[in-house]
Amino acid sequence: MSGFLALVRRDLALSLRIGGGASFALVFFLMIVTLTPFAIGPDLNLLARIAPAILWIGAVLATLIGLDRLFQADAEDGTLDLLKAGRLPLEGIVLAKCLAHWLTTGLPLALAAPLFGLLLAMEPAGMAAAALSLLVGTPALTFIGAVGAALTAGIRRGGVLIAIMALPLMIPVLIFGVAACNAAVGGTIPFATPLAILGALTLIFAVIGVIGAAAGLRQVD
Amino acid sequence: MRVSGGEGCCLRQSRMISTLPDPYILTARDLACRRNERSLFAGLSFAVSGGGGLALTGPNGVGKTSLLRVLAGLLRAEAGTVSLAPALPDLDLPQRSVFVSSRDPLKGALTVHELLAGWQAMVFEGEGGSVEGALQAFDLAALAGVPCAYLSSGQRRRVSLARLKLSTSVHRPVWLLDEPTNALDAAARSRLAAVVGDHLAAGGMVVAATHDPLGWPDLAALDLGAHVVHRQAEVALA
Repeated sequence: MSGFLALVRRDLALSLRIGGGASFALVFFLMIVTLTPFAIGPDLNLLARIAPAILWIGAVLATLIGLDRLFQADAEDGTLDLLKAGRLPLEGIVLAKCLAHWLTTGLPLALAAPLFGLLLAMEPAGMAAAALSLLVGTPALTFIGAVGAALTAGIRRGGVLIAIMALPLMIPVLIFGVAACNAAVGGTIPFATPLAILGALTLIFAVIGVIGAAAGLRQVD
Repeated sequence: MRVSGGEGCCLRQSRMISTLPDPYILTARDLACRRNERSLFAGLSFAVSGGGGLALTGPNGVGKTSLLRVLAGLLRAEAGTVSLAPALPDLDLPQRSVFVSSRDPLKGALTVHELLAGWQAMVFEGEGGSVEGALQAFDLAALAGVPCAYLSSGQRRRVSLARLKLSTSVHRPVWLLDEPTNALDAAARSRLAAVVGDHLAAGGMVVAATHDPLGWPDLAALDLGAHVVHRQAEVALA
């Protein structure tokens, strides 16, 4: 357990220091959110209606930032070989690295969502729903991406491959994430229904992602 | 092929008998390895006992690193087995060996002390080594607060080797070293020789791939070139 926490701490330290890229995802998210109103024009009603979709697409794309180096950096310099010599199983290593990735990517996105919702003319209820749905749903995005990251750990320029592999699997998360946001500001279904499904998706992908990524890393030699 | 440290080694083993009931024996039987459709070596058998070691030699591409990775449990052998006696429950060879590859797993943003403390917490937790001891053994105390990005290649190599002292010879009796003296100056080489000497005296063993003579006592030589598969075929093609 202490090895697990040490790995989380190390990955957080590495991403928070200069060149670590912890803020890249958030800035990228901000870019997508700011560009959309320019593209759509001054129709606030339309903007407010599609705001959850923009936030969620932004979150999906921003999650991909940094995923290509999630395992590749450690595979390249031999750190992965060293970690395999410890008592922490490969699944634990994957879970620790996913947790660190989410803490520097998904969590800041969820926390910033209410602020960015202002730019998209969202109602307060919609902003809260967006933040909550991102909080529940973004871990699933990280776990899905981790499988792609593990499979491309030995490949240079694997980032595009990760996007091609991971984005189709992220569609269910996107659907229920946006559905939760929409349910909070109107519609016929209660907010809790899509949110519960979103939580279930996160739990399912936590299991599949960790086991799948660990299996992928076993092939890296 | 049977490799051991000769009489001196047996003397040491009898001296260590109070702490180590049985000497460690690393046995490889009929190992074969294949990388990318190319057979490297086959039918390779050897045994190394505690207090002794093996120096792997042979031309480039003959499979020295691959053999070390097989011994470290990082690469699956095509055939054959590797075992370390006496066996321990729950601990396989990767958890009972230290593999220092030719790549230095340094993170430029972390200081030397942070890096080693991280390795200790993530990999060598509770194995009796200390970061301070590791820094001391490789003369790194003055560099403890320096980010790894600023180190020279010889210093990087020393930091990389410092992981050997994060565990003890009892917890990880097998040291697998790939070109350990690369980029090291004379002082660092003698420090490494001293560290390896302590390890052998404590009943540990060393398998090192090298092109240069290491000058460590108790090391038998194993020329992997003699175990190459398809060497004749290659000659015929040439």
